[in-house]
Amino acid sequence: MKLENYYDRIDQYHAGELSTGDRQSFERELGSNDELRKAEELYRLSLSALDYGVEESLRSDLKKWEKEGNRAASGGRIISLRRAIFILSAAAAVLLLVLFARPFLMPAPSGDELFASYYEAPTESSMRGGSVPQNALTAGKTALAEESYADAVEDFARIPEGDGLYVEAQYYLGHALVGLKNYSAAKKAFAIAADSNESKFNEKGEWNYVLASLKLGPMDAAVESKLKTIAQNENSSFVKEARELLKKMK
Amino acid sequence: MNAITYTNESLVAAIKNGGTVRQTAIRWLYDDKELQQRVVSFVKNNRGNQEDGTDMFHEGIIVLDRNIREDKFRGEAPVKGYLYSICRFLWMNQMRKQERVSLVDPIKPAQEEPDLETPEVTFRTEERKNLLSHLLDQLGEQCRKVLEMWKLSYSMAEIAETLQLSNEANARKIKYRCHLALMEFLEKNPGMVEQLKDVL
Repeated sequence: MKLENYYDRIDQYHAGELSTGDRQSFERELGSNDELRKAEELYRLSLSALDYGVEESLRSDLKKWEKEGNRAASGGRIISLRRAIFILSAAAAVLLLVLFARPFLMPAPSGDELFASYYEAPTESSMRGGSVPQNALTAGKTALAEESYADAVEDFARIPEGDGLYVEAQYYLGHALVGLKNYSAAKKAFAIAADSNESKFNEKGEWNYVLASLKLGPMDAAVESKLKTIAQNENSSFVKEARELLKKMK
Repeated sequence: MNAITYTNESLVAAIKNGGTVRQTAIRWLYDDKELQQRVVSFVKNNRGNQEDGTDMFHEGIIVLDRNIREDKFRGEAPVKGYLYSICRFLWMNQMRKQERVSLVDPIKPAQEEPDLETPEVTFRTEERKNLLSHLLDQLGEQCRKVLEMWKLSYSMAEIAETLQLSNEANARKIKYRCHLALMEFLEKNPGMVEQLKDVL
């Protein structure tokens, strides 16, 4: 049965969006059309599952609020004004000391933190542009925009080496693999885009190659050198980010 | 600090409305520490502890939300009294399951609030929970969030904004694709459909 043939009408019926006439005709058809009746039953059963999901989400929200409340409540007690002034003065002194010593005391952020700060998944609008015919990539891009990463990987991986869209496919394949948290495969895909001659993708490929490497653990010399090259290239779109990243890694 | 206050009617309307309006109303109910304390006291006076009391308060809110959305709350009693009755009922039921005990109720809500409506509480059996949970597991994280928000009457614009989707049209497209996928999964698993029909 092609459920999509019935979905919109059933959806409108349940949302109360059908006119009186259409609703009556729909209800009559429910009595005579087995497929429609079956599809409507599946729709109702799926709603029950969603109701259960809604309850689970509310349960998790309530637990979260409880935790927040406990955190806020702990330590809340009445203290005298003199004691409050003393505590505030001490806190101010400690704050000043921390601010002064911060550059010496703060540990460098981890690769995970740096990756999270700098990594940006492509948006649907950024994937839409370009003059290259993109029919073969459309499905993968849609899947990527919808965060259906496994589908996106399948679509992009289908473009063979030598195809005019191969480099672009590898670049987006890298992002889909990041979505699946397969950073090592993502790094390889970004490397292909980085090493290509396609200006539209080699710069972005190179930057994301560095970020995927960062996520995988301590940076090796080759990757660090790549990062330094980006930081020294005034024409690179990522020069500012690369310089910041180098600074934070120190 | 919550600046909004609700009457019985506006609270019920807000929960029925869904979306962020429902979320704010539920948070307002949850923030009633006096009511929470009443529930906790009842549970503690009847062989429970603080944690049991908090759990009952949470479960009570979940049942209240469900009953209001499913029009099972007739509005004959104040919502907060009704919520207290649900919590009390849930705890009594739990205790009865463990052992037959006579419960002490220091608050006596029936005297305090004579119009209390008897709560209709549908229990989710483990079998039902497992089935529904298995069914939801077929959906990816994003699909599940989109569909749950849609079920709670969030607008497509709100869904797109909350889940950082590019636009309303994309949210609608995802909802369509995901809901259809869920129905198709059921279609391919007639055994599950029969089981669901038995437990729902």
